[in-house]
Amino acid sequence: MAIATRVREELADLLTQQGVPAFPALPHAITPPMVAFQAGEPYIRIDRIGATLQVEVQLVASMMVPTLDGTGSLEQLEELIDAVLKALPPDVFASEVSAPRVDRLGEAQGAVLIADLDLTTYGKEE
Amino acid sequence: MATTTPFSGRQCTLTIGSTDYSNVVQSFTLKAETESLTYPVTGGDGVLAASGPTTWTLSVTFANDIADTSGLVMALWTAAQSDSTIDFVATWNGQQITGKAVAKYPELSADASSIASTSVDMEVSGALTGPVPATKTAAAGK
Repeated sequence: MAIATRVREELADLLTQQGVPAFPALPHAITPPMVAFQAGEPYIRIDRIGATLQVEVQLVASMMVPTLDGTGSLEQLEELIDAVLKALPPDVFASEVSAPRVDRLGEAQGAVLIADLDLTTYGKEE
Repeated sequence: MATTTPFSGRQCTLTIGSTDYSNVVQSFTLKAETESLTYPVTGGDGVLAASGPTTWTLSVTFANDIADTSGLVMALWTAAQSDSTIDFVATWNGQQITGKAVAKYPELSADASSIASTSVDMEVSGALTGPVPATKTAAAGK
């Protein structure tokens, strides 16, 4: 398994174990509140010397809540942000959260309120 | 015509003591500073110059691994506490240089907006050996 794939999957598992529904990638069916990991920019950076491949992985954690009334959605999103930050392990560095935006998912799924959290972590060849 | 094979940090390693610390080292540099000795004269030559002594410095930037009792921070810290030198083997694309450097305490910093790393500059004590083809097998990576 690729290093970045493993990093995303382990992070999603860890958050889910701590009560924050998380997916290693954007799932087909969105069931907010939830978190989905996406590639950041730059995605992967070679970070250490030596023959073993070690990389810095930049991820974006897209945190989504259902669109209720304006205040309720924002409060729910803020709670999700806090929950994600508390659940992150110490070797995952969180830098900033984007301004929330409304994203329409289509007729079947409605709309969600989304904020993106920028994350940096490390992965190593096994 | 001279030829070369380009290489990057992935073809380089840094061993301190008997441990290969490549897994925590982001970059390292072995740099020479050679003093120029000059003497102004009144004749047509103007200034007489010669090479003076060369001082080598090993600079290492690495992830702060202070929680690892056998990590690089603790290795340098322990050596600096006892005013010791550390043995190092640096390799670049299969060529190695070995020497001793005066251990220094690594800077310890905390920054909410970045992952903890540190750096240290250590003066080389005595002569360097190499570059010669690498013979040392790196100890188990940390």
